[in-house]
Amino acid sequence: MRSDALTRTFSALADPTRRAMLARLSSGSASVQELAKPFKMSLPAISKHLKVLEKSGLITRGREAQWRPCRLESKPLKEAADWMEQCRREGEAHFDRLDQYLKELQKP
Amino acid sequence: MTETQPFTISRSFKAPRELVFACNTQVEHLAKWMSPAGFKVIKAELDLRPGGTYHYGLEGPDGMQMWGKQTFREIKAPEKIVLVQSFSDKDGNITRHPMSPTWPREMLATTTFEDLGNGETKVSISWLPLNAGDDEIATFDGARAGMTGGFKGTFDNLDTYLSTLQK
Repeated sequence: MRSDALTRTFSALADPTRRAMLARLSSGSASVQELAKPFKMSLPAISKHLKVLEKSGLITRGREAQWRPCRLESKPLKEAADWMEQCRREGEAHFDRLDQYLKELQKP
Repeated sequence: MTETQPFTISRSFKAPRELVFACNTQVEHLAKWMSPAGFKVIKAELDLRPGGTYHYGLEGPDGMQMWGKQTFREIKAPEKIVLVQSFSDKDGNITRHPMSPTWPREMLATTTFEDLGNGETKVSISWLPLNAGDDEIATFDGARAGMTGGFKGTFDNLDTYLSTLQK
């Protein structure tokens, strides 16, 4: 299996629980307990998700405090967002060009 | 194989369905709008029938070449085209996405042309990974979740977050 950064990011993002965790972290650091609260999941299951996020570089965990707060790392998310934005723009541009061409063809 | 959902985009055009369909299936038309600005078509070989292929090459302003290959599965003029989309080399051999090694190698693309009346046509394109491994599905799912807005809130938050960091 290839494991470039974008692939790791997308694998991490492919799960709704992990996306919800990232959404929560985008408004500030949180403890594992805080992150676990909205989910009907055991702590080991939550911890597994966090490990995936940590491995992909999407979050880091503090070492200073005993509760080891989770914090969002913006760089990988930004890179994934840029890549998606490019794909989305290509899709839109494809339709823009077709629209333009159809207009030219139908000029009275 | 892992299950996933397709990624779809659609738009309405002020043109009759037959014309929109022709623009998507005839080389003379395709050459005039398919390639992005600044790219010129260096090859467009179309064999429009089930099992047939469309092998095309584009060259960017910096001389960079992009090759792609479509293999048709179903053609129902002027309503529907089902094909397998891939990147390729200049000889038509299927390759990986040049930017993303785990982007699905083969994508089942279904384009439908819906007659809305009043000379308007709605075009919908849906993509679904084909014969994809878990890493390809994950790459596609991650990107799809982002692009279809299921993840938009997070990016809005991230934007806000980044702007506070950079104040």
